[in-house]
Amino acid sequence: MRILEMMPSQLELVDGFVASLLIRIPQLNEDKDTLFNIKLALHEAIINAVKHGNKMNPNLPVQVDIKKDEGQVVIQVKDQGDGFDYKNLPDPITPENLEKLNGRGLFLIQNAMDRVEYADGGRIIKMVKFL
Amino acid sequence: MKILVDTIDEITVVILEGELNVDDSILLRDAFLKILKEGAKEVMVDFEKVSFVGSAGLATLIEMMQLLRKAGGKLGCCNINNNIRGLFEITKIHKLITIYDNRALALKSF
Repeated sequence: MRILEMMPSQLELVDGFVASLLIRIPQLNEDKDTLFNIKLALHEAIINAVKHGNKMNPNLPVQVDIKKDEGQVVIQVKDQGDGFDYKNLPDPITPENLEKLNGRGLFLIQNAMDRVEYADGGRIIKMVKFL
Repeated sequence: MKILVDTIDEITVVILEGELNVDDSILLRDAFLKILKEGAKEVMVDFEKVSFVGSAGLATLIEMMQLLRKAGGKLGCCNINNNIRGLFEITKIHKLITIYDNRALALKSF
């Protein structure tokens, strides 16, 4: 099973877009925890792509590629931005960062998924959840 | 998201229903600023009917906690499901905002 979709970089479209993708992944409802984690990761990755990658330029698309087989769900989210230094991310749970209002998205993704990789200078995030 | 505000024994109880994602976090922030302006000091957010929280929702709760603390008040949360409680724990937000198992316990202990 494969889903390839794009959306314009508008934050107000993210929630509906994520819901429309999740409903098309078969048998995902059967495990509540897996569904929650995939939804969280997809949600956060798309928000990052819209906000930080494409700088909320509605003319720039966010591309989502989801593949599911018996053993795993693989999700790729791609933006059109400048990339970022994914090797030096601030740790949101240190005392000095704990009360900051931003900077938790990638941390949540890393905890929700089994494998997270970056490509194309950070423009692509690839997330894997084993089933 | 539906947001219902009630006052029980001088504690402002904010009952949420739905998902606390990007758009709904803005709604919650607006509702919270309104109750803060009205003088609320002790605020309890009831998550019984909340199925999802993203980073925007967590950020809104931290901002609520900071504003209440500045005003000499405090924020608590109750009735959080296991998935959302897990988010509070991995992000260590449970060290900033007290979590109660249920509303009765929360109102008694607050």
